[in-house]
Amino acid sequence: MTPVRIRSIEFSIPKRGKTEAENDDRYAVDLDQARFAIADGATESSFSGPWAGLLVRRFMEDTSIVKGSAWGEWLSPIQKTWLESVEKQEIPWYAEEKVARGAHAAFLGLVIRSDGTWRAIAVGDCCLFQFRNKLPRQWFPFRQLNEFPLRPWLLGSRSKANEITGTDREFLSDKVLAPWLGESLEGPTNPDKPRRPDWKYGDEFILATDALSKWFVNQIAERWGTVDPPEIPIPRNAQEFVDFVNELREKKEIESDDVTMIRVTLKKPKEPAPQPAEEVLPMAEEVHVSESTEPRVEGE
Amino acid sequence: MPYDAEISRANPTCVLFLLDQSGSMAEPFGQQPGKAKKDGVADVINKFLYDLVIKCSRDAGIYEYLRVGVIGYGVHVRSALGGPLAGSVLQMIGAIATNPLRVEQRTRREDDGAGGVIERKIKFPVWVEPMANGKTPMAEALNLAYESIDAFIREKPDCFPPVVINITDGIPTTEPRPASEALRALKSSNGNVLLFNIHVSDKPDRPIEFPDAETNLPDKFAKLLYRLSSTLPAPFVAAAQSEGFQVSPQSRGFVFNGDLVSVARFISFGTRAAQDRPSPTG
Repeated sequence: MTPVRIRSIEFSIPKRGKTEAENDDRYAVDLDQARFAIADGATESSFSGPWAGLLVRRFMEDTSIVKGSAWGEWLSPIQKTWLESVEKQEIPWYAEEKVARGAHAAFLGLVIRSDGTWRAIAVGDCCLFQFRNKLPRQWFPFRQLNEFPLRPWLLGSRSKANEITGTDREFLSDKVLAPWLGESLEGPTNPDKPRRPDWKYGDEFILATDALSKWFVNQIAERWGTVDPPEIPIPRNAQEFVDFVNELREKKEIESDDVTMIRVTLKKPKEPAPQPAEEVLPMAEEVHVSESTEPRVEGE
Repeated sequence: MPYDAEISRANPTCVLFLLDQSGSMAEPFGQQPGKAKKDGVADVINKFLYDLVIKCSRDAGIYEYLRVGVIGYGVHVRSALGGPLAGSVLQMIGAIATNPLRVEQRTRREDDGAGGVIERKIKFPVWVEPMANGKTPMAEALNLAYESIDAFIREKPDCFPPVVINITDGIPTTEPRPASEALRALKSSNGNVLLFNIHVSDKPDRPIEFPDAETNLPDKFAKLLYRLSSTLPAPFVAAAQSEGFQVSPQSRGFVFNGDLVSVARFISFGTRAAQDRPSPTG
């Protein structure tokens, strides 16, 4: 067992022109159990923000899907909760039809294990990036910009929306379906040189929704093969995050979308006893900073 | 890249339908001899409006992403929408959603997820009634579309380019080419207006969707409508491909005897799940 001090900062900002209440991204963090999750509710489905919230909270309770347990079982209790909450409301005909189709959300969950490894699960286009010594080490599930699907397979709040039919298989690329089918649950691996994804002190993990994920993948591609590549800038606090996203939006380097990011840093525990957070960061409404020293072991 | 403007409540776009209501529309469909063309096209328009309203619906409300209109052409050339929508040609999508002429109950057959089929009752609003009377003044309809779209673009100069969808049996009594050229020449800062045509024919020929040449089209009317149609812009080509259509960068927004309702799904307001496909109604 490797002791570790985990620090996490979470940021979320709605698409321009939308209010905070209309932000369909959600995140959740449990530092004691070293669990992190983000979800991105699809713009074109209704009640997708609450569905994204149910997904990330479910991952805080139960991470069995990273070990390949059945999705249907994992989703079933929150599908019921989602339906109960929307059926309580008096809604017009067009909203009824949207409810019948269900909400959809991309999802990414990460578990840092005290045996020095990590596991992740992704459905849709939220991505995970692992940095070591400021350099990208692993990223998942999409490694290149052209792998991001125009219409990703997402987690549906209606059970039948998650069944993959023969027609779907024909139209969707393996990349879209692989995480769903449980083929990438161990995190990214090179098929020629399989390796359990590991972590070391000083490693950083970024969980990001699609607009920012595409930007990171593009930054990695631009630096690929260059000697002494410049560091990829990653915001460290609320103000930096807001400035960073606004600048990328101004320069049209990211798509117009809600943007959510969790930055996780793994550090060696301080001696002799754990200390409170070493710096005070400026806080914004949607930014949280948290730290823990004793992640529990995820059982096999 | 043109045709990439974001469609938002601050920067809406518009979708305008032109509906042939001439006397020849009382004749039967080539594909469905038991059904009059006027009934078929009214169904198509109502389905289109239904899809657009659903697309703009968010949670319990409507996001005003679109202005929508239906110009009927036959004895008259004017808005084919009734009740509170009968005024100006282009209406807010929220007004469309709340003002159908009536709401019918229809039954939809759905997979029950266990190998069986269940029937679900759904509400199907009707905005446009079947009508077939008079000649086919397509040029006048295109001119009225020009006026409405021109005014919209002046108000929203940076909008996603408006889409005009003409549904006809393809035998115009007035020359549509100059009016269609003028309409297609209108543009926002993001690209030219798109003119698409749906040809509902007396001929029982199989559907042809988004052709990239006129050689396989069955008659001179189909060829005329093909020539009036805009080439699909790149984002529509990508969306059509993801919907499973065989299209090329030269494909035109023209459908012969087929279903163009899919075009509503090419207009993107943001992320949509791969599995989020409307089920057939009826």
